[in-house]
Amino acid sequence: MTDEAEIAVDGTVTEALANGVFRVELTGRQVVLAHISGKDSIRFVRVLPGDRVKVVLSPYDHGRGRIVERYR
Amino acid sequence: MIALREESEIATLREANRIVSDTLVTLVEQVRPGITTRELDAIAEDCIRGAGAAPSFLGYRGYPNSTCISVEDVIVHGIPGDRELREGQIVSIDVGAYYLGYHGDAALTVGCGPVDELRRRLMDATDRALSAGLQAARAGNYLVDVSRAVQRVCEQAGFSVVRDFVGHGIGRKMHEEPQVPNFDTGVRGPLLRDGMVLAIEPMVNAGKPGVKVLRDGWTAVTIDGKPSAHFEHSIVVRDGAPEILSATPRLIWGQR
Repeated sequence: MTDEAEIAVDGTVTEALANGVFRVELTGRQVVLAHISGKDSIRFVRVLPGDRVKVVLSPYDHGRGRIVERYR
Repeated sequence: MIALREESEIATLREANRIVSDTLVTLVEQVRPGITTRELDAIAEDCIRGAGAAPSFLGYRGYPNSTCISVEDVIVHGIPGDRELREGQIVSIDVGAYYLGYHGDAALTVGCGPVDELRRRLMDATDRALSAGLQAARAGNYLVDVSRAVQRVCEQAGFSVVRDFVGHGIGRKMHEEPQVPNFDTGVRGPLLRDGMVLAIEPMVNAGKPGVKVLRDGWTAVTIDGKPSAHFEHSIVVRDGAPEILSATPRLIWGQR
């Protein structure tokens, strides 16, 4: 059976929740929960509300994703 | 982390995929005008269970059957039902089996009786695209080399590659890392190494590449109503080269 391709969408962080999880409003106004990726976490990179980020959505749950890129 | 399987695991994967390919061969022999997709699915389930395996798709993320049977403009994930096959249609059959802890997954598209030139060319191109993708799956290549090989063959034939669905690693779970797109995403992807087990599955549309998922949450159709073909093999990279786990001498696909 095929797998659903991961979708990468841009958004803006609206809220920082605990444990590296953030609420992100995507370009299409959809709000998802996105967690910081391991690489950013181990390098102690901070993500703050207001940051524009790229989120990869899980094919299993379109309400959750992973922050893969932070735009300057 | 992409799992690198050892010889004993590969042996079990080979067996799981043999069950899948035997089931596919049996189903292809049964394809004829008038048979329903539900009947085909029932035959598949019998084959899989009779071989001592379990259908991988049944209950997977809520999927209700053992096979995906996708007729004409259905790209993938066609749910078996009362739809009767008619002569001139193309039908894609996707089977998965779970055997002793490991999954097998393969698919092919066949015509129901004689089909027109367009459909014949579509199936031919998709089969050749799978062949090209399989041959690119060697140690030292990157994942993107597989994707590019598939895309090149499809687009040279004048067809379009579906982007919303991807191939995948396979092993203890049906879908594992990595995702294997059928087009060049611009990302090189992981370096392929011995022990990696991948399910490569080009989906090719005669018309536009777009996909629409129906209200049942599964059936994926082409947005322009034109037909779509799908071929899949599960392979392991072994001694640097791709070995097709789901190959069977009884029927050849993906091996041009």
